[in-house]
Amino acid sequence: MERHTLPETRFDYGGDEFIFAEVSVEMSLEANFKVLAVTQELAKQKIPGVTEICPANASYMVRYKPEIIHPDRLIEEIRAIDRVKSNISDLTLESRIVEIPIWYDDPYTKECAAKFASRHQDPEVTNLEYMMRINGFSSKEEFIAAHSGVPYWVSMVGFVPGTAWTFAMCEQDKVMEAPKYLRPRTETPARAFSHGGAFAVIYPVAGPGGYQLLGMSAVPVYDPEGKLKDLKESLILAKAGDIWKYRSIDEKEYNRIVEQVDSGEYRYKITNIQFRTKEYFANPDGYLKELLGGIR
Amino acid sequence: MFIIKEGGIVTTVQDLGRFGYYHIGMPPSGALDNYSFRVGNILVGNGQDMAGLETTFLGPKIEVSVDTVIAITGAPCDPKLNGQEIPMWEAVPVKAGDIISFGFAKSGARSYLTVAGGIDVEVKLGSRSTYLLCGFGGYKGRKLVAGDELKLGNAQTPSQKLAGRKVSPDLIPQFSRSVELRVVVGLCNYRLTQESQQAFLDTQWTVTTEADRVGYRHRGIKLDFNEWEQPFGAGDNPSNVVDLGYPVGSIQVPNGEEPIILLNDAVTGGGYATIGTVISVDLDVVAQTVPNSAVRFKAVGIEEALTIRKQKEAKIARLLADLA
Repeated sequence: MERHTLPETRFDYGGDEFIFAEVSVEMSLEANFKVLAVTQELAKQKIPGVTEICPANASYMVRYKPEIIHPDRLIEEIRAIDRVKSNISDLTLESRIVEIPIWYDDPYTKECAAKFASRHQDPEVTNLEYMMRINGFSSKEEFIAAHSGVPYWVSMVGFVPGTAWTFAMCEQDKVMEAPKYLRPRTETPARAFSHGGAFAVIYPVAGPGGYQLLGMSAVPVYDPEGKLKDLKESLILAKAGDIWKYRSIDEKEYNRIVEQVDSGEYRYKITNIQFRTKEYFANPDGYLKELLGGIR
Repeated sequence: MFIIKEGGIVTTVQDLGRFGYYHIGMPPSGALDNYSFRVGNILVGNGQDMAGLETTFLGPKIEVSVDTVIAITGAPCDPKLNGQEIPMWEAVPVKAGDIISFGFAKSGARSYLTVAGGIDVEVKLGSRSTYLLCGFGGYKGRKLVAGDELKLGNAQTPSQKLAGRKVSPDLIPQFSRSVELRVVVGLCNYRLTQESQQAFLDTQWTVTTEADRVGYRHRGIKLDFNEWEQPFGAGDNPSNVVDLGYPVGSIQVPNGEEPIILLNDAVTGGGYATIGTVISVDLDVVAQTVPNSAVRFKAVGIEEALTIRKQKEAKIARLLADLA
């Protein structure tokens, strides 16, 4: 697999309480692997004065108390870790494989898309049909099989609680892309499954949005009341560095899972793993198959 | 107990904020005018991080169910006790059955009502602050309305010792309709053209009506981004970047129009280029700025930002010493 080489990380001040570190201006799994390796190590080091560590797609951010540590000293400490973790070809990352059941081409998101058709590039077709066309698919089945066939890497969590940017783990030229709405919708159902830019995203709560609507997740990604056992501690499902496998399901299975979620009995299919970039780069498809073999 | 008779425009329970969850997308929330809020807590003998109420333009009407001590700080708002004017920036004893009410803010936007012992709502993820956007924390995750009943904590100092404590006049901030906000320029500002980087600092901006706890939007000129091939994953618009984290106080300019300053309830990250960050001390100023105010941005270095920060903490230290 062809690998991106990463430049030296660029550090800057985000006012007097944040440090911003730009690993790359461009999205790539390589950039994100480094972001996670640095931020996981930073968390382990427990540097006094650091209050937040926030990995993003190709950058990261640290919040700190300047009364405890001067920003320039903090940058030097982070830079030292950043340099050690620059060799992305041999990193070990804490990760999890999580299965997310998705009802593609469902009536709920189609109804929502129809309501906001005037804000869309092509009001005549569904968002899924639009995305099929611009990515060169003519059969719905083939599109769904391709979209749900690759695992996705959770490269960033944020925006509102539980939002996870997930990025297809395949050759860059096979990553499906979709523009955002011309003008964002003012409504999106909670748990709507969508695609925008190079990222697949589940909306944690109902609200505005501009991503193309492809389906519904049967399971929540944000659980503020802690009703589900697996989300009791974290309130949200996503962790940066997760591998999410979207599994296409039908209406019947969707309804069955939603019932289990509503009654609080649902348990997510989660497997903790260590993700080794060396094995991934050597044989991406084979390594992913081996990792995913555990859940299906 | 505080029994809410009228909610006011947007009145919420806030403390100093919720920290350690930014990485899950949970912003800190917390009092927007950090200085006024902390002074309020100090006046009533509270720890600075205890919970109080933040009002917006027009505060609530509250019946007090116990004898205690309150303080009102922040935007001047003609507060009254049983219809009689009471001073701001001063600890005021109240009795069971008393009614606290507020007039419309005469300058500034947000006033703070603190009470001995603090507001005792459930602590969620380490804080009592309300995060309105997702209905999390505070009192039922929402602004207060008539009929709400807020429990109060146990006062840490006897009331008779607190009554009459006041803030020396030079420690009371003034709120203006023409402000200068100091900014550490940077982050992705290199994405703007040289001319627009300069124009951002030279322009007098106007606060729009889209100004709340999430962020403040400003009207002025259009800023231009450098022509370049958008990096993979960034999106088509030249103001887009590969989604990244937003510092609290950071400024973004979607499509080059209307710079937005993100505040305590903002989204924690997204795909717009950030061009700098308002220094933490001046976020208190943003909090007290009203729509149609004039805003100028002034570039400062990190050392200057840290010096200004120390000056603010020195004021708090002086107040603590005055009242000791």
